[in-house]
Amino acid sequence: MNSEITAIILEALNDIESDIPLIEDQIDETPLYGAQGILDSLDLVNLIVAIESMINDKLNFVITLADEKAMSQKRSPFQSVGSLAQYIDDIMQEHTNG
Amino acid sequence: MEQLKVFQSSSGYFRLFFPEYETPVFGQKVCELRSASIHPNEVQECEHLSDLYEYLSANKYLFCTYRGVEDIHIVRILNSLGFEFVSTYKNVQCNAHDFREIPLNSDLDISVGDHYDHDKALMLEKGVMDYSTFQIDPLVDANLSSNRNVVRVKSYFSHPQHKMYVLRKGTELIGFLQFLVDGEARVADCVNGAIAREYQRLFIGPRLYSEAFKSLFKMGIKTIRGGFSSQNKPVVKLFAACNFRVVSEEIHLRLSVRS
Repeated sequence: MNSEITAIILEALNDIESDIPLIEDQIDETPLYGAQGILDSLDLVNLIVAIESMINDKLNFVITLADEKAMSQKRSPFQSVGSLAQYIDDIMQEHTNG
Repeated sequence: MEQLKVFQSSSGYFRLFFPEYETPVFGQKVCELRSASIHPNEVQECEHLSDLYEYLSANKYLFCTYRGVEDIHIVRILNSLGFEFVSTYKNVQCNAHDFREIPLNSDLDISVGDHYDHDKALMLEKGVMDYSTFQIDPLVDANLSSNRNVVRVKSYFSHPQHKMYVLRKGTELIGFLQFLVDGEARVADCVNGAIAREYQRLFIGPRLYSEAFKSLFKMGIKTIRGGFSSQNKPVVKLFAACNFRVVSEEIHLRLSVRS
């Protein structure tokens, strides 16, 4: 599941025309938000909207990423491609299991 | 704001203004210079602009900020007097029918603030970079400009037209947006906004601004206006995303006076 989600994140990044440099064997470490991240708040909103829409279309799953839970995480889920993929995966697992 | 003197140069007339409320913050007087459309017959007393520095120094001013149109002749004259460029400043506005909501699906609740939020808002303001032309200016001490922002924000609380939107996380205030709302003219001026440092570059700003604008338009406001330094890139993008358009631009130059 995680690789499917990563592919969606990368496609969404491409859609918002972000200039984030992607290193092929270090995709998960690609910084999104934080000291090294190059997304500003509006880029992040566009990315979130694009990801939510693609997850709905491709995985048939309705997800909300910009919520209080995301804001309350000790480590921001938006720090890197990998952390965001893991966060989305966790939400989907939680929903499925529970 | 008290009007002080009129100055003249080959590029026209200028008026000097004295915003008294700045003195307690800076511990010394600061003033503003603005271009003025004055008919020569109206001018009773005026000095040449080249004497400005002497006047400011003799009257113990700390800074003089030029705010006005970007005119190459004026800029050159002011540069020759020692004024240095600080920023360009954009004034924007959006009418109700042009507004575009930022389509973020979120459970974050934006509400109208009350007086219990005031102290928290001041604390929050003190900790953020708000891109005011004092705060981005390396000539001005960072603590001074930060205190000045707090004074400015506080001054709005007692304004009869003040309305504040807030975003809280538990009891913590993590963002607020201040407006002066003229219900009769149905115009709202967005005068200040701040997001706590640790929540910046998340989705808080877009959510707060978009929801606040939506709420104001919903209550019958026809036009929302705002203004910000061009260096405040996130806010420039945010207003553009909500479909605000630039209605005017001014530049800020500053002269540091050593008396």
